[in-house]
Amino acid sequence: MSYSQTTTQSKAGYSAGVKDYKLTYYTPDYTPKDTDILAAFRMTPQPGVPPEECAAAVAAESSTGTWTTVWTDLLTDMDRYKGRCYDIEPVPGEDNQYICYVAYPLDLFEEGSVTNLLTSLVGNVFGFKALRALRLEDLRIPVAYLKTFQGPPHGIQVERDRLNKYGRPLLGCTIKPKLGLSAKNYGRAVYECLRGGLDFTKDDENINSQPFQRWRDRFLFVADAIHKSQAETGEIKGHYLNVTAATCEEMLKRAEYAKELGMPIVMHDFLTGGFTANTTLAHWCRDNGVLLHIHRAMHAVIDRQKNHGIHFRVLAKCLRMSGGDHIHTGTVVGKLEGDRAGTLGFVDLLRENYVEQDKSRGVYFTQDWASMGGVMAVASGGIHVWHMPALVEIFGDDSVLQFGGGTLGHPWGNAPGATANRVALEACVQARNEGRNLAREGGDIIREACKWSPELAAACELWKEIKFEFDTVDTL
Amino acid sequence: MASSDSVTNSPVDIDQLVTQLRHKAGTWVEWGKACQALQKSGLRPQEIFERTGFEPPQQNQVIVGAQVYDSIVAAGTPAPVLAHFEQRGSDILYELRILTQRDRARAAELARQQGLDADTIKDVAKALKEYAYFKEPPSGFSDTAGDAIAYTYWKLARQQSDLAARSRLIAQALRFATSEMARQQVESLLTDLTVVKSRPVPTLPTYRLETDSELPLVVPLAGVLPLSTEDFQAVPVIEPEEPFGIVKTAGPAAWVPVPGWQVVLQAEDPVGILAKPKHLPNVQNPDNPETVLLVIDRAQRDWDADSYCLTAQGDTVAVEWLPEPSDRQLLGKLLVVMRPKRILDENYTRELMQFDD
Repeated sequence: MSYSQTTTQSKAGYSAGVKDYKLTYYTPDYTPKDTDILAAFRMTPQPGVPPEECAAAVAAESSTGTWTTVWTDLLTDMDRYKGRCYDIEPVPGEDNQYICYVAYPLDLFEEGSVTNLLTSLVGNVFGFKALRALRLEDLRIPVAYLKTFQGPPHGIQVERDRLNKYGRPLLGCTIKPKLGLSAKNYGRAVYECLRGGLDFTKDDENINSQPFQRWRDRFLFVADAIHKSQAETGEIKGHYLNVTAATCEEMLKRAEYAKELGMPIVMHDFLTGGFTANTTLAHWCRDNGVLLHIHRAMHAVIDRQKNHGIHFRVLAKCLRMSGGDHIHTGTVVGKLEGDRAGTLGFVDLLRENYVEQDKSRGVYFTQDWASMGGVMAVASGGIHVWHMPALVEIFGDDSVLQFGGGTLGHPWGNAPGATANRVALEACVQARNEGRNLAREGGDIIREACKWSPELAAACELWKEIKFEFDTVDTL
Repeated sequence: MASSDSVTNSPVDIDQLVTQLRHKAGTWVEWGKACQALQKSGLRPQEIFERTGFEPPQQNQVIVGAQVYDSIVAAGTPAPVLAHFEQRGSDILYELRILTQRDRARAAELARQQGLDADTIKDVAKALKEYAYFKEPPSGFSDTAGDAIAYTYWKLARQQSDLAARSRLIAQALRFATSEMARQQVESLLTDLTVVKSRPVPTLPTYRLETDSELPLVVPLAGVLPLSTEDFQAVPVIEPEEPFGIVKTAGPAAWVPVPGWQVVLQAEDPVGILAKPKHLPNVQNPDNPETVLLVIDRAQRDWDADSYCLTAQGDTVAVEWLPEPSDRQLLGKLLVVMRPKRILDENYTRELMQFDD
């Protein structure tokens, strides 16, 4: 359908003044094109502001509009470039909220730039006075635009091939305490965890290059630990070396050094670092054969409020486009936030090639990823061996289960902690493959495994009482 | 299935299994068992690959597929289905690993009947897994594998307004629906396809109050300080009516709206008084000319060392803090001193909207 279907209602000549957005940007007759970028906003208008006017203002302010008529409007083809609100629906169960759907022509966005995409879509509109609150719930990225992005440096299958590990989730651990360990002690903890059976260890998100542990020292000691643990176990091991830095040049310098040391994976804080830095690093990672782990530090500032901000599924989609092989997604169980249906919705958006619209899981648009590589979901935070059956059941094989306190808090030390997790994981995968119901029999499966693994028995004894039973704030 | 009990570490067995795999002798189920036996005997997947040509991902697929195969044997799957999958379909059975024994058997049978490929069976497995979370089948659908998948497509089709996408999902639902009621349920969606999109009616501008403070409380105004005790006491008691706090009055009176803050809503008999800072105790700038609104609760007349109160001083009222009980007549407790909104950008806020450029 052509753009002329919703032609702007033009008047003769220039008419100065404040516009009624609805006239131009609310176009319920419009049928979105396959090449349009579609956005679903959860909108809470100020009392008395009609949703149509408010939605039109959102479409206007995130595309061609400004608050008053300007002379230069007459020099552009508004009908080619304007965003269009084509549908509004009330949010079930919420009295003052509406989902407004906006279609943006592809020409509004620079190819291959998540930075530009977000600056256009959410750059200015969220402070709009006619709105009490606004939240970007979902985006539909058309294939035509998607194909201008590289996406994850390697993707799930290539990562498995590089690690030579198949048929189970990968196991990780964040080295704690968060701050203050010397590089040497840090390397020792890495070695113990990897030797004990983990696949990965991880820098904490705020470990960059502080006075107590400069990045080069950390990289050296961690490399020693990895080489030693690989030699002892015969498995490929990795440590997410956090290369997040103050400048892109410094970030790439650190990544280069990690590559020189033969490290298989580096890490980036994509939100605090920014999408430009992240895309730069993702391109470097593909060119240099290094996997890229992504941490989402700062995400809750953006995504936690139910009626304002950006939902994490949008950030996750943007990350898949910008590039990353892993991303933290929440655990559903454990100490951090995560509603089951919603989490599984965006986990699918990270991993699958084609995801059908399903609003019951927060997926507002059918998304075809056009063979772009998948991103492994990382479940991390407040989880321990008793959570293992639920995690395997919920996240499936293409995930990284990350036990920080759940490894390093083991009463016998780091290596036994790692062993306990590995045993619990393999027991759960084996039981699932044999057809046992993890949701129902998970506890029995872990208890059976305890009989032949004293490390697991000790872990089960320690963490049997720890639960995090709070309702999630962000539910569907 | 090759269990760990049946595996020995003797080189003869390993050689035999390696030869079997290298020659691809037997069915893929036997390859899976052989691979598992080799792995359990201590060979790494990479070594197995170098000796047999079975790549590690392929080893994983046949091992897990063989485990799934064994579980559908145990679940009593019909012989023709077993015979079919014994010869082919390790990729299909691999995708069923996330299901319980019973659902695996049902999905395998469906896969054979419908000739499903591995991509489709992955979606089928996810649908069956989600369906298994229901205590009983949803209304209009039965407890069969076909209906479970039909339900998933039906659910997606209902949400889809794009006609092409909706038609495709309905077709998929009809393909899998096995019970008559499920078929009818899906077919009912077909009637909606003829609906022509018309311009929607504008939304009624409704707004549900979300917090108490959004609704002001109308409070009677007693007057301006200095004020006589008599005038203060003559102000009538208000009785706001739910849910919008309607106040009915007889005769002339002055009223002032006060935000519905908790402290105000809890007051039993709130009254407003206008005053200048110079009439108040303990103010930093008594010469400030702005007028403030005092909200007094006349129902709270007990002495309280932590609060200011309105007292009678001769014929007039005064705001005081009493450090200890006094003989003075207490007329009410001072709840809040409300200052007018300070407007720093007065000119700027006359614009309809304020933007960052």
